[in-house]
Amino acid sequence: MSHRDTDNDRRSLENGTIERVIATLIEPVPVRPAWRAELLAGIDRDSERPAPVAPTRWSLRPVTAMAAAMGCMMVGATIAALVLGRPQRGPSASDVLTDLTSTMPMPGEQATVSVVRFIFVAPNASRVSVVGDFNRWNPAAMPMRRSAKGGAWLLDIPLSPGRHVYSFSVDGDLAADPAAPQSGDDDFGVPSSVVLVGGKA
Amino acid sequence: MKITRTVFAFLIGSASLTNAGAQQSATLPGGFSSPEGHTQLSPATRQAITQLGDSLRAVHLPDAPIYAKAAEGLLKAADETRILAAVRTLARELGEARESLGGGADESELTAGASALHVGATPATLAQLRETQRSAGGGDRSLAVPLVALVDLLARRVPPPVASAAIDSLVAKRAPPEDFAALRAAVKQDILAGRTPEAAVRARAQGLLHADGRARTP
Repeated sequence: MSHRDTDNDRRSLENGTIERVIATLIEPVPVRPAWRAELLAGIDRDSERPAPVAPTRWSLRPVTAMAAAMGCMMVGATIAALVLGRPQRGPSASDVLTDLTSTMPMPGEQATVSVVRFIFVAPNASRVSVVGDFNRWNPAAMPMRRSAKGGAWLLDIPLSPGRHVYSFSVDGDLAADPAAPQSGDDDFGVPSSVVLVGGKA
Repeated sequence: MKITRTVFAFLIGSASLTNAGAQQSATLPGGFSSPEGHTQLSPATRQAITQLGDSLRAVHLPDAPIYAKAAEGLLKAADETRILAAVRTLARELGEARESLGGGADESELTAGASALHVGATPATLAQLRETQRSAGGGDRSLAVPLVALVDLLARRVPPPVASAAIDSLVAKRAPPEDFAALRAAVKQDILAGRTPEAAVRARAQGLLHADGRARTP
């Protein structure tokens, strides 16, 4: 566009062109009365009709959906772990006072039962077993197994909650657990030990 | 009633013998057997123990501990007089323990309390421990752990007032079970190293009470 074209446009505006265009546009358009009545009736009908509602559309981006699913799975797994699955532990009878919460439900058991690991070091023994109030002090009921290394004898025993008195039967002789509390009530001349299982600390 | 109890005892005893390989035949009321089979209780002794168990149950005290005590005596080759005396003493101590610890005491507390009485604690000591526990806001916790530790200290010849004071202090601070185990183990070590039981307990208890930053279980 040149400077000359710009000057011509400016002169046209100054000659009243704009005023004439505006006057033409605002001049009323002749409308037949029948058309007007039909138009107004149509407007009335439309105003009585309920306004259309745009359908709600739920959508998630794939990343968001996957994150939500993973979150739900984690919450579910946490609840299941808390409610159903308490960890199995094999506490040593040596730690009887420190392990009061390691409970493991046993199949078919209604009450909570804990598995207690009994350990006794007797390298030269040929037969070691655990005797106590949980097996009616029967040396044949719970024989211990020799560990692969060293002279330790081991046995895991499921015990009900409570205080249990026990000893080790070592080749027919009785011995208290050197790592456990003494039972105190040694009425028969041979000391015994105590294991506390479960319950409130 | 007696027939039912006899049948029950027979069934339990039979199961016990089967589990043990059916090697022995001696049984006690309540299902406790003599594993070695060398010593059997006479009918009179069995009856006395059964009556004692009935008496305990009648006052809602556990009777299993006295049958366990009798079985322990059989295994340890004690004579019947000694077994019966031990069983009677235990029954009496169970009753005293409940009087001291209160009617809400569970079986673990009762048996541990009975053991504490057996080795030199007084009923007042047990009652004091319960009171301290309640005052410390630990009324929902069991006293079994402190009582077991107390028995262990007393069995190691710690003077009862010293042992009771140490345990009471830990209960007042709501010490976790680990502290009682630590006290017991440390005192045992000190005694083996030549320290007197009294000095060992005093030093170790003070150490635990003044240990900083230890987690206290609610």
